[in-house]
Amino acid sequence: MVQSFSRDLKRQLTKCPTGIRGLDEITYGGLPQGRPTLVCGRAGCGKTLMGMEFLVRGALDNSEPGVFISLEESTDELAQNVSSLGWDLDALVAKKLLVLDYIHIERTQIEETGDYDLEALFVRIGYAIDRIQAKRVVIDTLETLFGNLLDTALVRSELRRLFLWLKSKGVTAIITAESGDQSLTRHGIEEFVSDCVLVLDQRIQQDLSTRRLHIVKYRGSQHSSNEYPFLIESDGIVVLPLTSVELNYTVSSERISTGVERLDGMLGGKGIYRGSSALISGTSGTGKSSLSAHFAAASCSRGERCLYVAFEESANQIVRNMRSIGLDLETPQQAGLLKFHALRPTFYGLEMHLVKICQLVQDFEPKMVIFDPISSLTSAGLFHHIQSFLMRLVDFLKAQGISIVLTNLTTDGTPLESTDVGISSLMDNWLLLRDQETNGERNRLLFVLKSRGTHHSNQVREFRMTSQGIEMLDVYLGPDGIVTGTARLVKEAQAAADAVARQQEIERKQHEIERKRLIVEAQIQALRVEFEAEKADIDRLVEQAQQHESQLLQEQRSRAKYRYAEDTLNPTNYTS
Amino acid sequence: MSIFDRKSQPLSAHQSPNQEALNYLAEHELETYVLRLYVASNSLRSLRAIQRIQKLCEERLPGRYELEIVDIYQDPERLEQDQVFAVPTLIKQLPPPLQRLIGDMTDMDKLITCLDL
Repeated sequence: MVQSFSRDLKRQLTKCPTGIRGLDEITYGGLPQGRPTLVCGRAGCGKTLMGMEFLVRGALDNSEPGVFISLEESTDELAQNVSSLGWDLDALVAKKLLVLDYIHIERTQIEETGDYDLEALFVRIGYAIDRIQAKRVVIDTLETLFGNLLDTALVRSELRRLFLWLKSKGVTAIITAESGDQSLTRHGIEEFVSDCVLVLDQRIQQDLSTRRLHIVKYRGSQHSSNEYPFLIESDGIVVLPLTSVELNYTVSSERISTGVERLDGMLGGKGIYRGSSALISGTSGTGKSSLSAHFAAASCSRGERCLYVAFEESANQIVRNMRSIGLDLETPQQAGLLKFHALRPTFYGLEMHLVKICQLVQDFEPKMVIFDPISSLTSAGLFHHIQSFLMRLVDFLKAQGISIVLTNLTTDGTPLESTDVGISSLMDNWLLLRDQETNGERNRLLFVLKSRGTHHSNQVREFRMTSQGIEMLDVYLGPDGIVTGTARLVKEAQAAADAVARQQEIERKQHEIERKRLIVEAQIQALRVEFEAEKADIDRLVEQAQQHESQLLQEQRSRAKYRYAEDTLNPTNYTS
Repeated sequence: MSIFDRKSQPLSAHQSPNQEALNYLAEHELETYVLRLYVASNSLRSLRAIQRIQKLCEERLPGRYELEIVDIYQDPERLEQDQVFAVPTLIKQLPPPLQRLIGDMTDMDKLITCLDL
């Protein structure tokens, strides 16, 4: 098992990191170690620079010395050309990390008098390599040999030998060549390089130029066959490997507030997921920017940095406008929590935008990025370019757990539930803003069209811009759907009046029952009084009767005394 | 007037060139050839070139040439200074103009023309 493991390791191609941003990602680690790589392209597409950056980064980042064999430009010219990128070649030469060798081949100074070979060239390169124990070699560009030597058959066979020789030296080499019309290179030298071939290209579409890199061949390694845009930035080449971003980023289950309390309520009570994307779309004047400013303010109030990329308004204008709805963006801006990046989309090409934004994100490390509005990008590129731009942008940000808010202006006549830039399916949350015209007024409505992974409201809600920000309002439904604006106020007043009437009715009923209770109680009292009166009568009669009885008995006894009657002890006899 | 006196006289634009002096220089001074031949010691082609150039010099420039033979493997640092990339390379340092001839000198006619022999 150990054996098979080590065999696997051996079989695996070792790679030499170029240090060029993005290139190592798309080549899965760099160029083939110890082998030559052919870089071909037309004039001015960055071949020399790529070679030079390969050596400079190798020297600075990996401490690998490199040799630059120039057949086109003198060493002074080379050093001058790259000094603007902040690379001090002279310093590297002094530290023995770099050797620059200019092989000057001038046809007018050369006469061919018979057979020859280019062994001296090999010796020169070999000498340069040995002087600093170079690991990297760049030869720029071989086409010069064909241009200046008559015997092309000889040059070809010598180049074949050169590639084999470079391999045997164990150096990682970049050899540049001019693109041809029919083949990759003008003189077909790609046939000598079997390991790795990169093609650089510069194209102009709609007045905007884009450089592209394409890995034509990479033997023994996985590589992406896409074309990658690349840029020559102020500090070197940047390849944008963003299409290679895989959908395997970690997601957060934390929810963040939108900045509008009742909107959070509509989104399952907690707002959107951290690191998710939200699209706010709507026609003009529906409050897209204001809503996105709420997102920004909420982010800053959590103490999280927010990057606001504005394509239509200046930073000052946004700050001023948001002040009118009670949002203070100036304080977080001064505190360094909020950063505006305001520029016209046409300022440069989409790829440049992408790089600038990515750089800003890497420098500023925001937790939320707002783009307002993405629909204005249509002036900076074609549909599928914008789509690809946004897809890469969204993926780039999401991969880092950064929440994204995009606004999109829906132009009149297009369906509300679409975007000009075709990215709605990319979005995790989609808030649709629209206005409704009734009774001579336009009122704003908000609807959560989608919110992945949340239990969100299905209700269309009216909202108002107040001096305290966006305020979501209660819903009143009329016969024709939701009632907004003044009609809603009327409805509200109606409801209030109804409530008062109901309250009064209850009170009236309560009064009535109280009155009834009093009546009943009065009646009970009267009956009792009558009863008492009757009872008193009866009692008196009973008493009178008893008195009368005892009087009779008394009289009888008196009479019996007179008669000495024997039965005085039994008075009942008299009564019968 | 000795030749040395003439030689020491500067030829400036103000003076009309002394035709006699120029002829003298052309005959004696400029015809001393300084040649350098870069070869790869292990190559037949190079050995051939050495033989040919030595033969030619002995025939055409007896006693007024300097031929230095440089092995590229022995002195690689000299290649850069003379801008050598092919072997064999013959460099005609003097008389001016400087010339580079590459090849094994099989094209004798071209060699003779180029070296202006």
